[in-house]
Amino acid sequence: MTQSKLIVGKPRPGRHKEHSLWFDILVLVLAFAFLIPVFWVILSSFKTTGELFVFPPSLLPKEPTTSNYAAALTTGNFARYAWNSLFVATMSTLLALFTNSLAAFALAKYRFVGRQLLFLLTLATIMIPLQVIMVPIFLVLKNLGLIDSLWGIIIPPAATPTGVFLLRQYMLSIPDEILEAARMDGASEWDIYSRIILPLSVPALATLAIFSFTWRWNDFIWPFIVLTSEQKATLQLALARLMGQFGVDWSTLLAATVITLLPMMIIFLVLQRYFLNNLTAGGVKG
Amino acid sequence: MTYRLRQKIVPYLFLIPNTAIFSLFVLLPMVYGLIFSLYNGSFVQGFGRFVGLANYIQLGRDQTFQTSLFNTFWYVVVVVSLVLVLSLTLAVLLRQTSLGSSIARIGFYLPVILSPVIVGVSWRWMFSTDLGVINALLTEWGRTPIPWLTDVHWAQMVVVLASVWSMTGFYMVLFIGGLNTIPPELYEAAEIDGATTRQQFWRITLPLLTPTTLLVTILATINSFKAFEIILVLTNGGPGDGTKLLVQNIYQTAFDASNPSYASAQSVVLFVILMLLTFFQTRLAREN
Repeated sequence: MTQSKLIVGKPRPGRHKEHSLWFDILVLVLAFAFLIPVFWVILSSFKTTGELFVFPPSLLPKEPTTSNYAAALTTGNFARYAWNSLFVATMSTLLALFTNSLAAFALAKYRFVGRQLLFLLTLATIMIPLQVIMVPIFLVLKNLGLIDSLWGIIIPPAATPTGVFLLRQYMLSIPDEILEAARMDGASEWDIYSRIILPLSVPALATLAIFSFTWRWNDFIWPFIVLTSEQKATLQLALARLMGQFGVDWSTLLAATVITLLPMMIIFLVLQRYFLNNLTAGGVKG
Repeated sequence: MTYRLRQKIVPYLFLIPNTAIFSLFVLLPMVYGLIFSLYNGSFVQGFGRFVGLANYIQLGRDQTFQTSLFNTFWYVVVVVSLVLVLSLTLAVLLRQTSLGSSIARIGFYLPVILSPVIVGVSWRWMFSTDLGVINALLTEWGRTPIPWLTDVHWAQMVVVLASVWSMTGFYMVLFIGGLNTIPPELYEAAEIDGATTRQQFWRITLPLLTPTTLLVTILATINSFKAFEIILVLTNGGPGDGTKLLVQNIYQTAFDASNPSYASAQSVVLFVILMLLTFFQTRLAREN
């Protein structure tokens, strides 16, 4: 028996091939069930206020409406919060790309005293989460006059250790000969950084940009500590504040939730291979 | 400037922006917080009076702090166990490259990219006592509705489930990566020797997956110790202090009770816990 099995020798990953179709249907149903909380929020956000309170609730909206979205964007001020979120996520990402790539370039392509120490220090701080320095960081920002300023949540998280690590690893693979040749031709170190290193590092920079944008867009604790006035709130902060009120206004809140999650959902679905493959980058939130 | 000199100075210049931000907003606060925890300080008057270890000694008598610490330990143990079992099961189920499992993988990962606030909102909307769809279904089936978020035990359960839901996809992908490093020849050999699928799992998959399992355990533990936002939105730590965890207690001590020094002492405790976990991670990683 073993003999015949050896000869037939089913190819990998053929161990599960025989129930492929049923298996696919099963896992798709499971994944669908797993996402019910998200679907339910999206479906509910298109229901009229009256229908949200009807018992028992219907699965699909009876008279689908976008009035909740109009209410969230106009009376609920969510257009403002969306702009704040977009501004913060974009600026912080650009800043992170700039400072992290400069540091990564220095750590990857120069020999200097303290290089190893600085690199190890960078790695060590991946383990210092904001939750631990919540109180003193508030005091530091207060002394710098950055409380209730969007820059207070843009600048501090920009020096992501994960970003430096990711970019450095990538830049190590760029051959030194290219840099030497450029130096022979009289290029300055800044030219080498901006005209050679940056263009060659685009894949790694793109990965960092995607993750940085996601982190900052989804960020709650930074805005929660730093931003006080209502006008400066980001989407996440505004959502959480609405939830904290007595008697939640669900119709506006559900629409606002969808507005908040939609950009991330689109980024994820379009660029999912970055999320499902680049684990070193996603492993520790920055 | 000579070439050699230029090569010596330039890297330091390039490191300035990142190091400046990093020193100002990570290193300085670390030291600041440690020193501040030895004082009787406030947000208005700064450091105040030096009190030595008084803040730490007070932690030993602080009922709320101990409740939050106790809650955190339980939360971490239950969440990490569930995440381990669930993400490994999904990884084994979805490791192959059929179209169905590729799409399913995206589906199970999706909650990971949702912000914790959104996770909180979605789960609260489902489990709301009077408006939630879960209680609507229960009533439909002739059962009494359950006060999901206002009864301590149910609230703890919902908080744990929401957290597990938001984390599982990430660790599933880590496990799939780990599974792909196991040489297929081992399974072929085992099959020839007549090993059942179950035996293959316990004798081959699980032992060879140990490095990944350790990594997942440590990462999930550290992340669970930092949990805050999902619970803030779901239950705000209630009912009573039933779902209040360490980080929320630190926040409330500092900003609601205006006692930043005392909160700093609690932060140091959290920091020590996280450092010990990281230390064990590196030790275990080295042994494997």
